[in-house]
Amino acid sequence: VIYLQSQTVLTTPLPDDEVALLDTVTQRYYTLNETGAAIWDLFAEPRSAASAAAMLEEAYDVDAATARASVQQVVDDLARDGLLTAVEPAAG
Amino acid sequence: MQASLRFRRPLLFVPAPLFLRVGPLRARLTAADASSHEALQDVADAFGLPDDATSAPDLQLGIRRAESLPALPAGWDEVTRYGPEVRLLRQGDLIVVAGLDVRSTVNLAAGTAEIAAVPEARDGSVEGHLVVCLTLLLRPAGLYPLHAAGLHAGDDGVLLVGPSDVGKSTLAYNLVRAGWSFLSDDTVLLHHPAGGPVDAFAFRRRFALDADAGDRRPELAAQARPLPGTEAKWSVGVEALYPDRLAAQATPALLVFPELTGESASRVEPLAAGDAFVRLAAQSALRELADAHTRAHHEALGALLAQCRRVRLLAGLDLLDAPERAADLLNRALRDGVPSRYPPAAPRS
Repeated sequence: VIYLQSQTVLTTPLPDDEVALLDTVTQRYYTLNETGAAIWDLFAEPRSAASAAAMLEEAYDVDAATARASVQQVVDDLARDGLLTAVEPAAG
Repeated sequence: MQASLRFRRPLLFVPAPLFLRVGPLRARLTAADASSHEALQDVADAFGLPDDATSAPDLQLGIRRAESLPALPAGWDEVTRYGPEVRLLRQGDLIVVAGLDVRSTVNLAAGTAEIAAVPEARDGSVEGHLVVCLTLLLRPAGLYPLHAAGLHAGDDGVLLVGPSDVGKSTLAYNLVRAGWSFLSDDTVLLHHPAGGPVDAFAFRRRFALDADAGDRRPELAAQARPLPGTEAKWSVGVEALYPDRLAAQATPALLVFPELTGESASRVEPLAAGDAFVRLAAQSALRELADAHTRAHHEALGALLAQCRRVRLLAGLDLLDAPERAADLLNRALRDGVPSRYPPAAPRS
């Protein structure tokens, strides 16, 4: 599945590399720690969880299994609440 | 014909407009009749600083008594409700604040608000509408109300952020007694100019203190009057007691989130940025408007967090009786930062 940040989410960068997300439809706030914020940023472009995990593994000093597990947990949580939207892969 | 009109005019009471400074803005408030003027004067006394009439106003509010209220517009979006009675409807730059006995129309683009109140409207309703209209008009100018007491400790601004009844006003009054200056016990206006730090401006000046505060502080009684709508609170003009302590503006360096514990001793603990952001957002008025100003508002909150130390103040009973205790705790948080817990837990015996 390819995911993308939902257009109805307002992102606010916070100190310590945290981030706050406002779902402007439900008016609910979410905050992500440094790792969650890094994963969120990756979905500014459409990509799969596997692709995000590979990028996380490359950018941070983490092993592949840890990167996959971290990304999957964040993606599951954010997609469940509609902050990430499942989109079709870009044509071509 | 003209002579006849001039003859009639003195029979009408047309109060002079009031001119106020609200944060960096100038406001002109006009009332069409004596009773509306009284409500304007109360709000002006509590929320702004007197200004002269030499400059063109940024904001204009008008209020009049009307036998019947204007009809509600059809098909507008309902943005929010304040309690069961007051609805906020919006279409583009126009907002209608609809209550049972007062109806206001706000034009955000023009910076104007017109308030109509039936003759028997309660004072609290009229003043509530005035404050909501003023608040709505401040937002397009980049002024965001935050439910927080604002204080000045030396060069540093300190905001006590939290919902009602967590002790903000009592704590703020104790800090004023301990020598700090104050902006407000209840609401400040945040302003984030491009490239600069977030500033806080004074908004409500009159303190709302628990009525039993007079038992502990006899000097309050002379400056207190009952707060409309509640018997439990006094409205207190603290600037009359401490005229040199009223500050118009501060640059916050410390955010304090008070919580009442009922324990004997108070302490402070650090707070993560994300937790602090959610608490700030919860105390930010009109965030539910979700419009072109929402992003700038949230970025101002993020910038405020970046420039401030952040602490939870677990407020114990000692803050009521020992005002220097709060000043000591918060001065240390400003000066030294906050270890994981201050004061440290007592060693187990």
